[in-house]
Amino acid sequence: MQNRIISLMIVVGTMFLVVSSGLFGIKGEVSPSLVLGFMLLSAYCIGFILARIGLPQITGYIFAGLFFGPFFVDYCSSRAVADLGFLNSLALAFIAFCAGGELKLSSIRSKLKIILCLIGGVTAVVFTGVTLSVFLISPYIPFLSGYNLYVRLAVSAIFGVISVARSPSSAIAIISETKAKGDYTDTVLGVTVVMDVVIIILFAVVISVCQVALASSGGMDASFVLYLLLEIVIALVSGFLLGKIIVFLIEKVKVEFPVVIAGMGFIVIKFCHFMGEYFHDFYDVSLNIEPLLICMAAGFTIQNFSKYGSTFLRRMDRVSLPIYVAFFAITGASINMDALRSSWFLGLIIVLVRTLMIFMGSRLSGKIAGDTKGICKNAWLGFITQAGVSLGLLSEVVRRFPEIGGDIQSILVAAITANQIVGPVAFKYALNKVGETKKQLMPNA
Amino acid sequence: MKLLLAIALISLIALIGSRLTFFSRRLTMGLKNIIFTGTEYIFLGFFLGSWGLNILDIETLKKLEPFLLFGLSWIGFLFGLQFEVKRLKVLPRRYFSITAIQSFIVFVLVSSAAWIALKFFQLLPEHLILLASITLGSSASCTAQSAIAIVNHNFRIENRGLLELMRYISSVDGLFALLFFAAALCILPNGGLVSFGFLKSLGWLTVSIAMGVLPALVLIFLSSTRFTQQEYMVFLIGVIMFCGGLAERLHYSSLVAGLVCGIVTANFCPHRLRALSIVVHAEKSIYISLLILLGAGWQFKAGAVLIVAAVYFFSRLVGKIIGVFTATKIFKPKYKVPPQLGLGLISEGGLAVAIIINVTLLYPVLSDSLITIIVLSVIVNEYISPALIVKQLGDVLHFAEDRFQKVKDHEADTE
Repeated sequence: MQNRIISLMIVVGTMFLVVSSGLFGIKGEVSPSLVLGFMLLSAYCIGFILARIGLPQITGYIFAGLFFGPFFVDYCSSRAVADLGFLNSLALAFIAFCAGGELKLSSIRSKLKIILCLIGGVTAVVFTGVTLSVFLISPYIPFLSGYNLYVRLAVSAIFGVISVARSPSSAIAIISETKAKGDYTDTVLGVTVVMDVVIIILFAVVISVCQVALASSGGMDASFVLYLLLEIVIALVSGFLLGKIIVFLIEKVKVEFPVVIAGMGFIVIKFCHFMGEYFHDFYDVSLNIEPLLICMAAGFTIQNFSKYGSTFLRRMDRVSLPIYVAFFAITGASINMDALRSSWFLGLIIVLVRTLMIFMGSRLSGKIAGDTKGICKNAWLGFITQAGVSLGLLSEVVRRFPEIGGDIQSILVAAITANQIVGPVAFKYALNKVGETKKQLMPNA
Repeated sequence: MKLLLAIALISLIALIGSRLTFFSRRLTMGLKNIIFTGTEYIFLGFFLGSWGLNILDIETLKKLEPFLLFGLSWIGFLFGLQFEVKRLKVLPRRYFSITAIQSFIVFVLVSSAAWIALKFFQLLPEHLILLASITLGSSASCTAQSAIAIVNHNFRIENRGLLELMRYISSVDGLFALLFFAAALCILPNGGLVSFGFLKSLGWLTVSIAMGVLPALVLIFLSSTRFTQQEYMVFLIGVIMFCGGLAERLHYSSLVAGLVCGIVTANFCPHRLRALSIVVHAEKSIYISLLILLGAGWQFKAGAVLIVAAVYFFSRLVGKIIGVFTATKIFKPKYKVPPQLGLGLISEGGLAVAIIINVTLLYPVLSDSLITIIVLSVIVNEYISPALIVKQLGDVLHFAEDRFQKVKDHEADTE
């Protein structure tokens, strides 16, 4: 650990000399390449140090990003974070491929009942619980107090639906870090990944209802359900085809998996944007195909419909660490501390209610599913983290409801920030508790 | 979004290309030599650039600068890693001296010729002509290995010592090229002699060394305890990127900073071989990316720059002949050396390109002319190089027909 601390001191000291001290008389923002190099080294060291005291490494990466980011030390400016945004897209696509690849049909088949119960139970309880809680306090929330009952309930439902969202990227990163394996790990991962599909549907329904309530876009249009189903079907079919194409490339061109995955990730993102713009421009239809869903489906196809399943995961794992470190450090640097400062109290209420609801939902699901292994007892600890998906949905809320979207965003960003920091710690704790980490499974490894 | 597409394309081409390019294959004289030596990526870049599909337009190229810096720093690091004093001592001193002399002669000759030509045609700002000339001299003094590899695969060479000498020169002269380039930047820290000052140069040297040493120290400390292969990837990528980023921030050379970092790592890091194996693994992909970006950024200029390119090409050719001839006369090898062996060492590629890209990043005003010169030179040299090698070694070469027959038989059996 001493060597990591010395390394961290050298890196931070060098940055101080070059950026803050004014010794070289160079002013202006730090370039993305220096930011990235600095973040990789400092976040790794901080992650390593935190891991020594039992915290997950990704908490260290996030913390490093937050501390050296625009709101504190400012070695990584908002502009540099924006410039490195394409890395986030790459990392997210990479992580989505891994998430899909982790879903092995043979191992989740036996837990299908529990997984479905957890998805249904937790979604219902969290959505209802958070919606009602926000609705109850809505007369005291300044930007909502002026609206009628119906609008307040509809807007509360937005808080409810975003609270349901999870973070597959964090779950995968923690599983990769701890090399966890077992029933609990498979179940939590299965629920988290499938929840990505559920949340897209639920979000679309709530947004549509809310639009009617706020009368911002005319009456409720039932055709959105059709488009939604179309989006999901296109994503799943494209993902399946993509998985097959990747397998073909691996077999014929003999290129490494991570290389193909990186390239394909970019192409998928580009394809989805192109389709969205094309349908909007030529047919006036809003078709938002989720690129991460395609990547997940592709990973799932490689894992379950080819002979490269285990090779795929092994090869991806080999190059995953630099991607995780960069991704979570940039995520940390992107955390909006202004929102946290201004809305911390309401954010805290949502965090507490959401956590309680996740806990209750998991326990309820366990009872319904007849969980004898005690998986559901600790499952709630694995569902706390929120990150990219929630923030993505929030930006959609801001776009659709410009009049109140900013206020909703600032409260929920505060809540998501807290969940982003607490969640990984809770999940790692749970994995240790159920004894599924590599250290516990193979103490001599 | 264009940036994403550009990155996707470059990554895919570079990584798939590294598997296909430079592969051993049957020698074909003529135009086909341009393909499979790496030159095709310059054309591909040109096609993707603003003159073609416009995917790699000027704005996108600007945004790709972090990758360029990373690539330059990576190449510098790779060359530095080969500068392990213990290993260099074991290598034949005679070869080392021959390489040093031929590099120096080429450097002096090309720098002088380029300086006269640039001065005469006034293509560049007056104060940058000296720096541009020395940079061209540095890039000219290194040799690419592609042509020698092709010839070696296609022929049986009786005089193995000769082949060994050529391979040695082509793999070691890059170090001298980088040292010349570093010396030029050190003496001309602001680009021109007008602002020359001993203290300024000393300052440049100190900062350049510090920029390489500090990241190398981080690598040494991080790898001094137990770590996994994944962690080592983080160390290496982080250190090389940090090094390149520091150089860019202070307006120094990423290539030189990477070189210093590599030298320190080679001599003080216990895991230098591990580093070398990872860095070498990605070498071809990075070179291909640089060639694509070079092609994309190439704003073709006709007129006087073509004459300067010709001067550069011929002075390099003459320099190689005189350099190798003089060096082998002073340090005579034990076997017979053809008097014009230098003609067999004119292949030009990766490092020469990297040096030019680095100087154009530091002084963008040089980019149009220098890139045109280097692109034309690389294309022509790759085109004629294998033929010249065959001509020089004609007496000792035997076409290895049986090797291809064996491959054909094996393929037939497999089918």
